[in-house]
Amino acid sequence: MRSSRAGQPGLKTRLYAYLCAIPAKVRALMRVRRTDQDLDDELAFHVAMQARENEQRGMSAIEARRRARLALGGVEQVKERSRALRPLRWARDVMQDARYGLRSLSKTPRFTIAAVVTVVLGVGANATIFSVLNPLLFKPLPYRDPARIVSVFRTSPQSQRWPFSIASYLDQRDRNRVFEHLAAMTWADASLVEPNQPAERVYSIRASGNYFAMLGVPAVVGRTFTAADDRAGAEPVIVLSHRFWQHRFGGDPGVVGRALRVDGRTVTVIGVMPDEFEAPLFWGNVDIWRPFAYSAEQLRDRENNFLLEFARLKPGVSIEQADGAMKAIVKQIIAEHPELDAREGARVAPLSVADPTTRRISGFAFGLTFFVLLIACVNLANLQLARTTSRAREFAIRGAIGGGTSRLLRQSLTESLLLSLIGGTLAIPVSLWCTQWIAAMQFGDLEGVQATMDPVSLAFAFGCAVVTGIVFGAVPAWLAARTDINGVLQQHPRSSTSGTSRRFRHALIVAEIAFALVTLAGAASFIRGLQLIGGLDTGWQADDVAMARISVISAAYAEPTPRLDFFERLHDRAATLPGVASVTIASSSAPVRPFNSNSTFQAEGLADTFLAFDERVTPDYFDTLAIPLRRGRQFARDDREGRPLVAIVNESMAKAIWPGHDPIGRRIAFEEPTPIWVEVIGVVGDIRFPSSPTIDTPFQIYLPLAQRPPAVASIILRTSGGLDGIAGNLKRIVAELDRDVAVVGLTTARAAAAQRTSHLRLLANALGAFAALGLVLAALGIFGVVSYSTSQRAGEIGMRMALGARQSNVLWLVLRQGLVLTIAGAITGVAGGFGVSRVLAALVPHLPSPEGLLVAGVAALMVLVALVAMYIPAWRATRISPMLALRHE
Amino acid sequence: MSKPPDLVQGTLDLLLLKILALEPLHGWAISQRLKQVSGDELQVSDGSLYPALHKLELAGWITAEWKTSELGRRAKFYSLTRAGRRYLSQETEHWRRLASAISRVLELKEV
Repeated sequence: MRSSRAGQPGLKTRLYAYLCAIPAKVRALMRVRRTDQDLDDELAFHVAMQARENEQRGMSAIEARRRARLALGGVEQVKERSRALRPLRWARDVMQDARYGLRSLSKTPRFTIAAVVTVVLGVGANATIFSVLNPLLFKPLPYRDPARIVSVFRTSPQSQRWPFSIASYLDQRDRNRVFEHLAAMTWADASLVEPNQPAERVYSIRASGNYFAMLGVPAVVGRTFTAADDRAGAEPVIVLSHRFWQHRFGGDPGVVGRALRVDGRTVTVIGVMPDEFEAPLFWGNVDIWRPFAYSAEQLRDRENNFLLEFARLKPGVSIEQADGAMKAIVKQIIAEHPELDAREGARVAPLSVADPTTRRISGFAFGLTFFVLLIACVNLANLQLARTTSRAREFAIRGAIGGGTSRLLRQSLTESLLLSLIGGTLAIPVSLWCTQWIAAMQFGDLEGVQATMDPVSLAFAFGCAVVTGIVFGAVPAWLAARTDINGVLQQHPRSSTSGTSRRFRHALIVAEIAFALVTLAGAASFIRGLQLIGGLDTGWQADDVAMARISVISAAYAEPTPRLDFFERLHDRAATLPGVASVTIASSSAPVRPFNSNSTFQAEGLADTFLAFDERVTPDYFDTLAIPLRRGRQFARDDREGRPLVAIVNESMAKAIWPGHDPIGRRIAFEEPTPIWVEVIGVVGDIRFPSSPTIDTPFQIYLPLAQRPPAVASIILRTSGGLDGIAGNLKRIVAELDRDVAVVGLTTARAAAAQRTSHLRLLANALGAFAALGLVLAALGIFGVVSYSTSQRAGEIGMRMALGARQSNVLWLVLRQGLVLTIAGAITGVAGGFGVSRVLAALVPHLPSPEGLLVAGVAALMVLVALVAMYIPAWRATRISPMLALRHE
Repeated sequence: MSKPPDLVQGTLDLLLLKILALEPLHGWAISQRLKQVSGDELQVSDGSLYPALHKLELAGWITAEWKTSELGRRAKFYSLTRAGRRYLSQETEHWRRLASAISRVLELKEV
């Protein structure tokens, strides 16, 4: 019928009606209490009038009133229907629900605090980990269309991530048809000198002319360099990073065009890059970019592999196609040059900030914190369930006086959402603080890394809170809505604990224990693995060792002789400094990380070639680092240019290559175009690099620095007075030798090792903290459920005690139930724990696998904590006074 | 169909507007008047009367004020607004057309 109403009131009428209704609407909105009063009065008047009429018909006064109310069909129901008509009803309902929710939450402060703390910890932990890992795992690099940028690696049986030589890069650049630009770069720190100031070390990248074009970002001031600047003999130019420009030149745009002295050459500043371009998480800090401008001779170099390649895919070309094409090109290049290793190849991989191991470990950590969130959710659900069950009577009463089912559901949902929102809001500052703290620890050595919580993380935290609220508000509310009003009102509150609800809560407890155990086992495996790494004997003495990098790269040191001369004079002067016990100069830093160089070599009389680290050192290297000599002799000052070429090898290599024979006097050669044979004169103990559990090879070969002086070296000192004593002196003697040479990164070996593993240790600490959090949350959950069911059984317990049960009987009665749940959870959790340590072993293969006992130990800890959590309510149950309990019934 | 004749939805509004068009009344008087004029043919429970009145009030067709009733008690008196009067005449016209159309259909003889 309604649909046939063609005559809707005209617009004018409707408008007029709307205007007429404004006072009523405003009244309804502004004066809810007043309109409620009106409604009461109006209905009271009606009932009074009807009752009067009924009385006149001969009914008793009471019967007359009763009939009058019945005729109205329930005064409260009429009121509720009238209220439902009011404008913005939903908004007022929400406000009312929220007000009522807050009031009812404040009436149960213990529940509220437990729930809010649960949400804060669960959400805070997740948001923190997400914020810290987001820039590493998910944030794209700040370049044009970063998804199209890829890395190209040289592959070999030893590594999947090796760099290329200059000549190979040029061939690849010219032959490939899959990249818009194939660019190459290398880190080449420089020393910058301004008139009348000591040399200063700057972080520098040398890059091919198409590097900026490949990344697709223009300069903010001036211009970037191009292929025209990347030629030998071109006017030398540099581009500054935004951070360096700000710090060093105060953001002065006039710096473009200025001449600076870098590595002993005069260069011109041509541009400044935008702020975010530096991306220190990926490249490390960069102060300046320089074009290669390699000489014709360097361009033919196929021996030195040090260029990292990055490329932008052509439109429509997939990574797989590019990978195939580059593999073919590199194969062809190797075929053209018989001196290259035929086992090598190429690989094209998507660009990502974190290396694969970091990504995997981060993913693992993220997974574990997700378990903590799960525990928090389970706890919240449990708390809600217990609360809803104990409020069954209240809900039944509210249902009886006109609260619709949907209204009650909404009230429950509102309360859990309130809890989630309060918890989620509080989690923001907590997480912000933790994020900043962790980021400061983890990225503290990089300038300009944003260590703030980003909006995504914030949304993530809030999302977690809201979803938790909805899901775990809905379940208890749904259970509550199913309660039979009459049943609840007529019976004891205890009988309203439905079987479904109890089973559900028990399942939640089992799940909670299992989740906590998985988290604990995962964190414990990781921490134990790191301890195992840290506890390994390194084979050298890092205490009291200081080190700094010294580079002699300017034209004056193009020949080996001036280089050696510089290093020997530096060595001798440093040895006389106060507080210096022993000095050595080596081509890598002290061995906190793997040596800079490794190459394939051959041993005389053997067909196979081997990969070994090769390190050039001065004679006192082994004494300075306390590396024991096993056989033969150390290098002497005499082992220099023009004398027989000699080498010292490590024990593992001697045993593996000449098993059962004396290695002294044997000859080895590096695979160069023409092998240069060197004689083994000594064997020293193996050393380990504390920051790198994985190394490409266990073989180590030492060569005299004097027979092949490098351009970049480290000075390593054993000191007695710490860093402060020598820093000034070292800078002074270096400046006296050559004012263009900078002392770079002076640090102690201990600090360097700690810094290089700091992110791992930090992650381990964070995981430990999260696992402890999970344990506490699970214990809280068990405590809550056992106390709740004990309080529900107070009458029964009182009865038993009145009938002569002893304290121990009661204790056991309570503990038994919790114990069954705990053991069920522990069994599930142990299975999960083994699973998670397997996952860790698969993700980080070089992390030593801890003993299986560890998971068992963690499970024992979990059961112990659960027992303590149960014992408190159980003990309290034994204190129940029988009389009180029976009255409670 | 043995269901007692219920009010066609929307017609209660029409009846209330018509009753109030004659004179301002309070709720109880409206319910008495409804019973009087329509006899047992139309059953309006007192329970649905008040929500209907409040709906009309919020729609702006009627307005209410508190006045002293004939027995000296304060009661809420409803009266038609100008818009309500116009709406009533439109709806009455519409109802007549609808009723006569239905009647014509029902009077058709089978051939």
